[in-house]
Amino acid sequence: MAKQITLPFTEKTASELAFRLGVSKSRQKRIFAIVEKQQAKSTSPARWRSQKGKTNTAKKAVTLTSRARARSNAKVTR
Amino acid sequence: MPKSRVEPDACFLNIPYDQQFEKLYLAYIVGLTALGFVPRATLGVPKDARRLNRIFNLIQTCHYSVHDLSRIQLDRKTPRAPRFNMPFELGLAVAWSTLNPRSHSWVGCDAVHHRPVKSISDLNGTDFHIHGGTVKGVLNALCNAFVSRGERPTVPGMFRAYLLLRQASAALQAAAGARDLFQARVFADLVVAARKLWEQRSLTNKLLV
Repeated sequence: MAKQITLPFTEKTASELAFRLGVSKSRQKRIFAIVEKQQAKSTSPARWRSQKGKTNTAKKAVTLTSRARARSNAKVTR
Repeated sequence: MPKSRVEPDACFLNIPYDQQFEKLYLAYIVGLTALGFVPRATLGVPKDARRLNRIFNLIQTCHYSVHDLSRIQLDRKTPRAPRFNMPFELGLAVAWSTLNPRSHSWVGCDAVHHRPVKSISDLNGTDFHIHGGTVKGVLNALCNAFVSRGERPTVPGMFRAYLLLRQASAALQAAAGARDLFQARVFADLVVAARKLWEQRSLTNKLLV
């Protein structure tokens, strides 16, 4: 079995970590804003509402990247 | 060489810096920050004559190190040569932990079973953590390698944080004006972002309970 290490320390907060890594207050604010925006996007009810009532195929189509969409379109025209 | 102060929660991350490794790079950052580490890397260490000293100094300041040997294959440019930076830095860490077992512990990772011991037979008897080249594999390997005394992070929880960090990484890269994620400033931003994501996730879980 590969070796296992038990950690003696407790976790730091993001602000403490930013201070330790020399990330300035303004940069820290920008990072937190980006993270919060991303989290809000992922938990937004609008995202789930827009998916409601759609078939599984339609749901999958929403998540396709533009390249994958182009590829699947190409297959249809061939 | 002056002896450096050891940071008890710092973890030296020895990984390849290339775009094909980007997903696993983000996975390592999320996994280590979720476990309470402060990841450190050689990103930002200038490529001058003192580089080796600085890298060794960095290893000495970290109590832990994680070494990923999954991409030491030959490169495409002629003359084709294997990438020896990762095994070399692993050698430095092994030497340092042998001399100072109380101040350094290292963990090895690879994508394929038995390959590291085949290529470095001197490490026979040391088991590497195998991640299979996948994000979940990396998170699982880190959970297996390190056991936190407090709340133990779960792989699905860390995977959700990874997905969010991956989505946020483009904005962080753009804000830093960097051409890729393997830059010192972007690395620090990713570590802080990963910590914030994990913090908020834990808070949401507590509110839901």
